[in-house]
Amino acid sequence: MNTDVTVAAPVLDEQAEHELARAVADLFAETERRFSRFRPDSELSRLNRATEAIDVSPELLELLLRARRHVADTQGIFDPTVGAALVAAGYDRSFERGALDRDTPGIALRSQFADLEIDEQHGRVVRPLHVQVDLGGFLKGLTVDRAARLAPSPAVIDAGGDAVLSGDGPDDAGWLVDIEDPIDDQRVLTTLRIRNGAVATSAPNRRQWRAGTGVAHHLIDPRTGAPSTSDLAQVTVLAPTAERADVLAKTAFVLGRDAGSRALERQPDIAAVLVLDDGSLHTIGDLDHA
Amino acid sequence: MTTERTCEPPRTSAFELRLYVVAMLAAVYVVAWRVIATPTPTPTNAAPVDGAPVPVVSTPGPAPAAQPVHRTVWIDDLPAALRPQVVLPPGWHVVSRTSTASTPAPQPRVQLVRVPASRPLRVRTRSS
Repeated sequence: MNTDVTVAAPVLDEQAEHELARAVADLFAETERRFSRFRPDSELSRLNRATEAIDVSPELLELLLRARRHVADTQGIFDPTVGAALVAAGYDRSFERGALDRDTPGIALRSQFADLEIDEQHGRVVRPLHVQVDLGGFLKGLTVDRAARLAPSPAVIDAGGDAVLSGDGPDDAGWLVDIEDPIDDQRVLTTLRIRNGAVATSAPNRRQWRAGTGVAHHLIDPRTGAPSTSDLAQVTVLAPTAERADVLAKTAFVLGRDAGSRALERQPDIAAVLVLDDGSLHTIGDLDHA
Repeated sequence: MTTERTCEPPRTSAFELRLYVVAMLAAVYVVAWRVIATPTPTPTNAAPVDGAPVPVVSTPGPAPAAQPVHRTVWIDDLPAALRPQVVLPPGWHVVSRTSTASTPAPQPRVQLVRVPASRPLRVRTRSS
């Protein structure tokens, strides 16, 4: 979760806001320390190195079970076992622009979450050697949700674009959310008003690197084990939780315009803004444009 | 009766002139060497802790790929090295003998935003 986190809680006094910020920082740091695949000493990395059954902590077990639900809900389009494919594509360390560039493209690898054997009763996991788990697809959204529960409404917890906006905003007119143009990050495509909701955006523009003569990015299509070749430039999802918005945004992006739109339209409590490759917008659900 | 006397400039000897030219060339060379000729790290220029250079590191995985690591320090106990949250300059890697080559991930920074009534807070959503 290489990101900055913004905290705003206008009903708190300055000291209480500082204490809230400290608690949020501790939460993100702890989550990073325990579940980042880029930290060799994290619990997740220990799982990803295991060559036989290992016992996992209740917290990691819970994350794996959440992941399994997301896989089921998206028919496998969202799959946290893309870790090996991410490494093969070049995303083998925390992202920094230019640091992942390579002269030869990686070999596409395919794995699926069902390959992971999870013994819920005993908290034990058997990981086949070809499977690498990466919880980054939903863990940031989940952490934002947990951080938001620390703050009294109205409040904003924004972790690099995954945000929870509780309450009606400081002036009861809703919180303003700008959707960034994936082509020109200085430009805003549209501004929404959000009340008691969460938002997340998926696009390849900020985490892409040179791989051979082409460009690779972090949004892996589990069906191919390679970076998605979607006809979408960006997907923004509004949902009750940031975790769900995170998962659905990635899923819709990988599915592409038609299948992604259908998948989102099937969700009763979701709204979305899809940016097509040609720059046009396609909206789903009820959106309050500012 | 007055006599005008003209002051002639001191003559520079050939030796002094040569000395001056050599000194100028030396100064130019030193400046060029320091500014332009920055040494390019090579695998053999790794900065070993225990004396062992690290020309190549293998990354684990089903299809391990060897990649040259130009600036590398051997650390025997990786968790102990990471515990004090060592922050390495860009381009440096911490390499464990038995684990993945990796650079410690930067810690998330929390920014507190005081919401003034006169200006609404705008959240920008983007891929990150």
